[in-house]
Amino acid sequence: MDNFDKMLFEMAEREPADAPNRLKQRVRSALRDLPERSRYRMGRTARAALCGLAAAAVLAGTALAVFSAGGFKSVEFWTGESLDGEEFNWYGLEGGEYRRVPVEELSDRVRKLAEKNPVTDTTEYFRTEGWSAAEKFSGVTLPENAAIDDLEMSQSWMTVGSNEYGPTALTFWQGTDRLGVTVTARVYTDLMGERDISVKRGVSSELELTAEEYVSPGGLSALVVHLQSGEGAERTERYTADLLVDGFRYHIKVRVNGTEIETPRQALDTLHAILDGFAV
Amino acid sequence: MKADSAEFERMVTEYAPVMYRAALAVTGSEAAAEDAVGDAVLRAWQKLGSLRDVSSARAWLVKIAVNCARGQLRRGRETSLEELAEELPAPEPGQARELRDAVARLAPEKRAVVTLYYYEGFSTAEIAGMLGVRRGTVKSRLARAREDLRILLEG
Repeated sequence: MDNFDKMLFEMAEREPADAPNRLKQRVRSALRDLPERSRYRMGRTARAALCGLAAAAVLAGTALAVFSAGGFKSVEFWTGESLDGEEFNWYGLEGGEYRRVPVEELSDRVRKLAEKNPVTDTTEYFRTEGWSAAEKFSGVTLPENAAIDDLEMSQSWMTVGSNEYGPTALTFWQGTDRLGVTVTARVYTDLMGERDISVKRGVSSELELTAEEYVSPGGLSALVVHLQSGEGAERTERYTADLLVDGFRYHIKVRVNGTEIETPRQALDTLHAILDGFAV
Repeated sequence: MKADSAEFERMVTEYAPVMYRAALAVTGSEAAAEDAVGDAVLRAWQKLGSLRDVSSARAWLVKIAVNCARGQLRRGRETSLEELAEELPAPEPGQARELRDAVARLAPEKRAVVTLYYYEGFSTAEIAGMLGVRRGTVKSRLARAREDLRILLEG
């Protein structure tokens, strides 16, 4: 280390780079809004901790209902605290017929991304090209859906999740600003083994949550959740659907007051049209 | 020792400032750095099982924040690295510069290694792992950054 190097270290120590005060609030908000964590990814200790958290939430709050929908083995609702101590409404999607795509069927590009970033997810952005570009990139063919194909998507991306052995999951996302619709499809690889996959979603209890099963004319089941809060200009309202299609887990969100979706009825009709669009 | 939920919250709270500074070094934008930290908290939570030991949590979280910061740039929410470098005000001739001002004028890849090395105290090997480059690349970027800083600081 020469004198100039020493001087740089000393200067850096004298003038530490500050983080803005609002960062603390941002981190608290991020911790509060942690949406889901699939148990299959956790180590034993962390998994036990989350199971404990869920159990504590059920004990502290109210178990509301358990039923089957969307192709999941069971769907459970309960109220309880988030990590940040805020009252939340939770629902869990347990098990189901998930597909495990053989890693060797994925493209070289996906495998290289996983190899390059074995610790974190890696995202590729396709702008407005939609899922056709993501399918070409990944080597994975998504279930056909004419209604999704007809949406004028504003942006799309694909994320490769991985561990030290290779890609473990692919997430495809696309959204349309015009309608306030987003569609996410997630599929796992055979590196995940055959363990049941469990998903937990939580929303602030300020949002009123109601849920029902929707069955498309083709016989496809989906869990449809309606969330709303506030009045007038403060009103927030959206419909979501969770379902398994050909082993892919879909999460579809339609926002009321999207640019061209102004009423709850329009939002629900849009959601139903997308669900009906799956070729089953 | 592995981390549980409470430990995760503690380490994220403790290391958020260093995550932010690393993200800021990559993006050159405070807003993008904050977004990157928000994204990183989520990804870290989803990946918590891959953290083998909480003693390496600081480097692990910074690596995730750096990746999220790069994601922010790829998403096109912010201007490109080249544009950011050009946006920085030109130094005034003859005026002594503090290190932070000088670092802000470095090219983005040099800014990142200088921030992680001098301010955050990471080794070149750790920085190589965070940035996904070879250790030799980190060393050569540091060497070039030192030369730039020497000019900026000493004139």
